[in-house]
Amino acid sequence: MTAVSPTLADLDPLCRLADAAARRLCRALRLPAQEREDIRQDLICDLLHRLRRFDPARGDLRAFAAVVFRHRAARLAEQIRRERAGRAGVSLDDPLPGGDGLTVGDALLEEEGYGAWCGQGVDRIGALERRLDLERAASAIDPADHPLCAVLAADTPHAAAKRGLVPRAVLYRRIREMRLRLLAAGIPALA
Amino acid sequence: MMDMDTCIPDTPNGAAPLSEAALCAWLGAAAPGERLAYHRGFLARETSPLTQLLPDAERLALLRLAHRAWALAEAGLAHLVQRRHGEEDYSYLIVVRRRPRHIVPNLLSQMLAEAA
Repeated sequence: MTAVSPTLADLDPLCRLADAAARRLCRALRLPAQEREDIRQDLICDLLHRLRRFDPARGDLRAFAAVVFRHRAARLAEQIRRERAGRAGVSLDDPLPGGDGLTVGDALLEEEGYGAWCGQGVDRIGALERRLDLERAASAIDPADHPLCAVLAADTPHAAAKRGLVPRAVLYRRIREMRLRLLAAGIPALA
Repeated sequence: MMDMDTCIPDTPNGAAPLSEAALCAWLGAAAPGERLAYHRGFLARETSPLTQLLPDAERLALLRLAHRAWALAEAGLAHLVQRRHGEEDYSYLIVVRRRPRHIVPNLLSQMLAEAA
């Protein structure tokens, strides 16, 4: 007996089956709604690929499609779970095992960091020198002025004075004091 | 051998009085042991508002300079000494000390944490 090829009319209810299977999978894996259409197409492609093995003597097409969709959905779910496990969230502040207090962030190279991805310089010697300079500068200025430095890192003196954190005259006096201390510490570039 | 009293740019050459910024810049660039005469005269009299030996602006500038030199010495960056030339005539010298190597560890990290 020659198997009769399914027609487009036969495929229409199967598409609804695929849609239902895709919706179930999205719900089970908490996938965004826009993924559903991709999964549905994936399921239908798999069904079309396996359609030549369909034997009407063993059951109807809906049952065959339901089994194909179920198996394909299970494989997709497993694949997505594997990908998620590979992307397990690791914080930069997580301690490295046996790292003697080092964190994951400490073990990342500049070349692999976000700065490199954004096109910033990744000169490690330069970065080290800059850090040493900043350490030296931080130790040169009065610790009481550290919060002011933090404010000035984000705002201009004018903007900082406008926010009213410190009276304008006091602000400029402290900035002048910091500049003189930096000069005396031999860091004219920062002053 | 290098002359320790050599003037470097941005420091007094007799033409212009030394400013606080110039004194700090000189100290920042100077090697330990180098010295600079930051004033010649008698500071106590010249900075007093009663004596009126100097115009107010000059007197205040000199007072600020003397206070700055004192603050630098207090911070452990320099020694202050005087050389007597005669009656009420002294050279006030600032001598660079060896820089402290001590840097507070993780100070920058603390600042960054405060800023965040």
